[in-house]
Amino acid sequence: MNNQVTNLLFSFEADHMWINENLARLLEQYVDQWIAVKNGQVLASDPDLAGLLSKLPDPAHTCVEFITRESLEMVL
Amino acid sequence: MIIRGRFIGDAPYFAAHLRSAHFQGLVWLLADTGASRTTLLDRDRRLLGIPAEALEPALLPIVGIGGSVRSFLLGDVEITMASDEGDVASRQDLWLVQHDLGRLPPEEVSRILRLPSVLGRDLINRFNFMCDYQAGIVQLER
Repeated sequence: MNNQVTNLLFSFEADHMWINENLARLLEQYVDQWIAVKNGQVLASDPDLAGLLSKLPDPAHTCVEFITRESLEMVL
Repeated sequence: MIIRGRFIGDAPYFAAHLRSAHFQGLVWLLADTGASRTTLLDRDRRLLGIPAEALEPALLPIVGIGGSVRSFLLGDVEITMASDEGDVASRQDLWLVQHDLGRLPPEEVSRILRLPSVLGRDLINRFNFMCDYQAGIVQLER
C-alpha cells in the first residue's frame, strides 16, 4: 500500500476537523483572522491572508481557514 | 476501494493533493455535484502559489452565480486522494477561476477568499458517490 501522500492528506484533514471542533475557543482568540494550523496547533494568524502566508514556511501544505462569527451562505 | 470525506457543518469535503510541473500542495475540496468541473478558487491559488505561467485561458466559458471572474485551465494535474487502500492518483486538467478582487471592498474580498475550491462531477462521477448527512457518511467508492 502506497502511503506517501495518504499520510499528508490524513494530517491535513485532521487539522480541518480540529478547527471545526475547537471553533468556539478559536473564536475567542482569533475572531476575524486567518489562521494556519498544523498538527492541531495554530502556527500563525493574521487579519490579512497575504500577511498570514508571509509568515508560513510552507503554505501549500498547511491548513488555512478564516475564523469568524459571520455565517456565509454559499450557492456554488 | 473507499475514499472517505468529512462533513464540516453540513458540507461534505474531501482532501486532495495536487501536483503539476508548476506547483504542488494540499486542497480541501467541497464536494459539489452542481459543478461540472473540479475548480480551484482564489484562496487556493494563493496558498498553492500557482504561477501565471501555469494558467492557460479556458476555451469554454464558466457560468456560475455572482461576480465577475476570469477562468483558466491548469493542464495535466496529478490529483491524489487517500483511500482505505492507500494513495489513489489520477491526472487531468483542472479549472481555476479568479475573481477581480481589486475592484471589491475589503469585506467582500474576505468573503470571496473564504469560498472553497470544489470537487466537481468530472471526478465525482468516476466513483459511486455516497453522501448521507444523517449518518455522517460521505465517500467515493469503486
